[in-house]
Amino acid sequence: MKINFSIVHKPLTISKIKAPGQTIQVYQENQSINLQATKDAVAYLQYALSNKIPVIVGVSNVPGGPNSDKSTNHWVVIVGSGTDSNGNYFRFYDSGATNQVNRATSVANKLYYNPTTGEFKGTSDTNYGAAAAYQMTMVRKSKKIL
Amino acid sequence: MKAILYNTYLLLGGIMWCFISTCMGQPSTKQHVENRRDSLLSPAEISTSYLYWYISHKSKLDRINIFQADTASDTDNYKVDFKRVNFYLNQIKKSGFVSEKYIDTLKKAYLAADEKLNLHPQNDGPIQGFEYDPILGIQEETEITQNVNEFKVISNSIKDDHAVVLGKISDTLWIRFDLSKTDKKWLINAMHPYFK
Repeated sequence: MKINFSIVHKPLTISKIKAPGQTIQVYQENQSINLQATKDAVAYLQYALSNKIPVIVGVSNVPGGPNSDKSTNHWVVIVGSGTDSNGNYFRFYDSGATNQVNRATSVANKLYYNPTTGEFKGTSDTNYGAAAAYQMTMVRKSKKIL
Repeated sequence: MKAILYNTYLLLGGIMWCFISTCMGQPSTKQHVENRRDSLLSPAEISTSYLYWYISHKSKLDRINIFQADTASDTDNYKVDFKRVNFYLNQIKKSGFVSEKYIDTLKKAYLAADEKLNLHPQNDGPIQGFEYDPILGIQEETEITQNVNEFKVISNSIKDDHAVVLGKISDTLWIRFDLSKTDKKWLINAMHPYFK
């Protein structure tokens, strides 16, 4: 399994939700998927990872969500990408584990990208993620702290 | 003599401090709520007062450890401590701004969490369904807690014994309150953030 995972500790923060040009909404409940947005998301994630920048993305694993898109209920950090027998994926660290670092950073934490449907779906090795699969909802661009 | 002068300075200083805090300073959130609770409040006033009340009591309420009450180690599974749920809900109810229906809705959320935790035991991370503030209903709660003084009631529609109050924290973040009148008193049945 090839993983081009690599991050460096840079002073970064995340963009505010819906900040113009800074959030890429790829999925919202009860709405069709915007394929262009998913392509933009993949392009940004690849750009960020190639520059060793981790990216926070929103995910949904239950109906509804306590955020402005009414879909996102959880957040993970994209730290790498790769390909396996199931397809192309983005690897993530899961904020859903506080004490179990090995689960939070498990190599099994992957979101698979389907270029045909535009869906990013995957599972997490954490307790929190065991209940249901994750569907990526949005990408929040990383920003340098000035 | 020196002692008399010293005590006089202290007294004058105290009087000045009281004068400045009472007359010149902004009323605290607590004062805002306490001063208004006993009067007959409109739906808009009830909604605003509850928002202020909750934010001023939030840190205390957050310390009621509902999910990990008996957890001695990191590997013990979470469980809902219903004694603490009842205590928590009682504190909310004692604010005097919410209805039985509001309390029931919250209690159902804890019952649902208990059911989920039995199906999918957890001993780490956020609780499914409680990844956000259960009262404010928003994950980025600082958008409300840090900007509560910006809250403005925009509309207040009353029909018979029901009312809907819409207020905004910012142009993009609104809050909707649903109220009903019981025993000549308006009480909140539901409070939801509303994103524009």
